Amino acid sequence: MLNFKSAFMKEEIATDRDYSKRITQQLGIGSILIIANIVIWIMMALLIFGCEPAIEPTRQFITYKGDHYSWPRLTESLQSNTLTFDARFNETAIYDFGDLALQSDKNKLMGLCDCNSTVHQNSARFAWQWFNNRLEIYGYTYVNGERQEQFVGVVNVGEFNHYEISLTDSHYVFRLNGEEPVYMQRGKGCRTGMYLKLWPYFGGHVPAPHDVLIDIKSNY
Amino acid sequence: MKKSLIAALILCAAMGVAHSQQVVVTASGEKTVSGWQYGGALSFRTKNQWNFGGFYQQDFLTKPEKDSQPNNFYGLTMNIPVAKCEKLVFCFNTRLGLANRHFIVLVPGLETEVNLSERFSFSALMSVRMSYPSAALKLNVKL
Repeated sequence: MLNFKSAFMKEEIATDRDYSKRITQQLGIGSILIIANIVIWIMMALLIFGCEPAIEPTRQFITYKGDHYSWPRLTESLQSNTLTFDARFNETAIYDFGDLALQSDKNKLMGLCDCNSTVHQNSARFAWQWFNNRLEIYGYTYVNGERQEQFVGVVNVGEFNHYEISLTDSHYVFRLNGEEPVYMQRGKGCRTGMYLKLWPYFGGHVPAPHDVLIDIKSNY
Repeated sequence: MKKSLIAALILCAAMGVAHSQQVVVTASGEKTVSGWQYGGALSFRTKNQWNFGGFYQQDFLTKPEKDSQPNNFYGLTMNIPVAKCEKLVFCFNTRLGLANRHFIVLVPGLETEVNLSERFSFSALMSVRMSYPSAALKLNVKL
């Protein structure tokens, strides 16, 4: 009788332990769920019901002295036939290499890799250079590995300008501030695939002589 | 590309039917950096609450400068449950598809589903679209 009682009590204690273990596990999962939910719902509420625009998509890109690539480094893909953005240069866009050949090297502003291509195969970008005491903007493309450049316009330092690259079946169409478009040939590659965006790059051959800052506001 | 997308959709649907307990129809609205999009999805839910299906969504209001294209996004969607209890399911969501017919897009996200009744549930989805956070609300009907 006593043996039966102690066995029964042991079993009861074991059951209690299992139960408390289960409760602890459930509380653990429950806590994760509750915290995750609170975070998600707060962010949802802020994004959906906020009176102000939730996001101001302006980023400042900086190319440090002695470097070509700008920061932040981003990976983003294009999701429509047109890439539009506003960009503003400041006085850091003014430089003098003392050599005409180097001075006419094109620095890249922003653009895109064409369908599943790399930048030096098929791509279209706006490029810029400080030349003749003015800031010149160019259309800059690679078509099946061949580079092409075409003058688009001149912009002022310290103000936002509107840039647009449209993709047609046969051409890249560059527009600056809604002015007369500049057409540049596009390769006959695929049309459905990944189109990666390209961000500011200094050079050319020579890296940035000082820190270069560019503000870019993407339009979606 | 189109053929392989259709084949993948059929394969997912077939897998879903084979293992599914439920067919779920979803109406959704999503606020992205470019504005509101609305759409729907048809998916199959397995016993383990995995969800496979197809979705379609487009701009709520066509912007004047974009009226030549509807700015749509369609493809495959999948939900993988991370934690669940009676009324709540917390899961990873992935959408893979085409934006404006030509542009491949992968959108990861986190979704919380609240079961309102046996047939209806409500979801909140946070994801990253166009490299900015987006928020979606969904109403799910289990058929």
